[in-house]
Amino acid sequence: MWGIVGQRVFRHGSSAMSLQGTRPAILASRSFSSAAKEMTVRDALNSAIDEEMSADPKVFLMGEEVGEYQGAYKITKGLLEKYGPDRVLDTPITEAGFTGIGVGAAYHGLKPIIEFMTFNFSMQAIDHIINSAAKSNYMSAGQISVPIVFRGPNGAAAGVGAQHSQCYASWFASCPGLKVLAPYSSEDARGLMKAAIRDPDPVVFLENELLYGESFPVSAEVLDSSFSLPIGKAKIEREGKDVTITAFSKMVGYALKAAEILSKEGISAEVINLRSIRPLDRATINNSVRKTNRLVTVEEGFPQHGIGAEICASVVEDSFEYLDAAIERIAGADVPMPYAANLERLAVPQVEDIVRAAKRTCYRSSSLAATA
Amino acid sequence: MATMRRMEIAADSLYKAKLIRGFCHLYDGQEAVCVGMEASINKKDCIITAYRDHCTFLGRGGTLLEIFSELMGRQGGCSKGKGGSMHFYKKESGFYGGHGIVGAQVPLGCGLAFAQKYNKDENVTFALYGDGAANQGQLFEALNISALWDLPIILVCENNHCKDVNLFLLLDFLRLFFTLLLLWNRVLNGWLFGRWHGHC
Repeated sequence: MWGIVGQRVFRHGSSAMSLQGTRPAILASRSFSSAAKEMTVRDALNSAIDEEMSADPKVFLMGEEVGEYQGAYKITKGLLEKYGPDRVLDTPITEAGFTGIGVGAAYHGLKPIIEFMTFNFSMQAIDHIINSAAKSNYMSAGQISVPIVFRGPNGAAAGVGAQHSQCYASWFASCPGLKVLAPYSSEDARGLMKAAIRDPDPVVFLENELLYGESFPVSAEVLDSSFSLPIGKAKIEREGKDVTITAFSKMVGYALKAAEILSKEGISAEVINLRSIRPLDRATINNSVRKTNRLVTVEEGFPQHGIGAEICASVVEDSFEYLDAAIERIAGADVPMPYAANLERLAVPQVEDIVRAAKRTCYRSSSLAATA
Repeated sequence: MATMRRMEIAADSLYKAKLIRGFCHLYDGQEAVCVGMEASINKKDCIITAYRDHCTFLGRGGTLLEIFSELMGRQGGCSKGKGGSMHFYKKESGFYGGHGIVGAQVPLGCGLAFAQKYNKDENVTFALYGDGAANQGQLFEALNISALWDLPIILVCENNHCKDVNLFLLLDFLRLFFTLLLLWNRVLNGWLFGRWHGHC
């Protein structure tokens, strides 16, 4: 019941009007303010990690600057003071070393949360993520389980250049043995982080630096310490009937803005927040495409062999007869991320790109050129 | 040790008969290392090694049937045929593999030691590695962190000179070349100056 209230709040925004319309009597008696509680993604992650560390003494945190500096992006603020240096460990700048140590600790039954300052640095440790963590359960025929979480900001930030801006969703999502999650809102951040920490398998948790400071309304259910979201289920952020738009992480916000613009032009877009990249919720995506008959996939990463490519393949395999138009793929430009602000803006998808692609699937674009 | 030696020689024959596929790294000649280690530790101490793991697994309580079944890709293998020669595990006896990437087992072993310290176990971890892995950067990273955090890890280097095979070959060629050069010099001296007998 609380969840339904929370979903209604998401769909129609946090205007006081719609809240008063949908709020049941019990909730009215609990909170005297007219707006739902808001929480930043940063606080959502911090509170989720805090609660899981409190509930299970085997959970510990390891990474660069997670302790004394309170976290490079302040996600782990206050945790060193609360849990002590035995459970919140500052490491030297040695990704391969400390990731291997984290995986070894997971072999022995602990539950490490390994932070990469950004996922660009995960490449230094990718052998341990893939070969030591992801594949061990299979290679040992189930003897070794690896309950580890690799988390950190993923994708483009602002002006950090080519070596600090790559999206690693499709790299990790192609590997059997890994689970890959990408939260968007604070509810996603809390629920998916808790699910990731509790999961007995290695989880890659792709956050977004630019979302850390954004606030989202959270219901009482979300704030409860037992809250968690299921891994492998996407969320329909906005229902529609003309075109399906899939997105994850920051692009969900862009897709929702595009849907607003499209609704003013008479196109009703259904926005799916993937939440889980691996396993991908193919059922939700395909059901939506069977309803709308058109699809636009949106991602920030490089286009070739990306998440959109996998979604296209899934829809073509399962729902080909339902498609009324070619699938449109919106992705980052096929170029290392430039530094200059104007070039950087051109290298990442913008709301206008999503709107144009959606119109193309509805045969509403002004010219037939692909760049229209 | 005798069982281990005969097991490895049998594995060698099976590999040459193509009944074992892919990789087959043999431990014959090194048996004393794992047998000596086992004599002074218990099953709550952990061992982790690289891909030369058949005898280490046997020492931790594995059976010959499990080993040969795994090597030949059978269901009865210790990893049900899904691992192969390089991926033997026996978690209940403290054996954590069995790893194919040179040097990766060292940080993993330091992680096992970290967990033992975290749980306040009175046990240690042995991470075995070879002369090849001794060059790996991650070994030094893990050693650095282990020293900083005072982890109960014992690193055991088994130098079987496998890495040096090319160097010895080169030294052999150099030795042959210089011997021939010296011989040629002696023959030339003898012919030019008639000094066939003794040195001048």
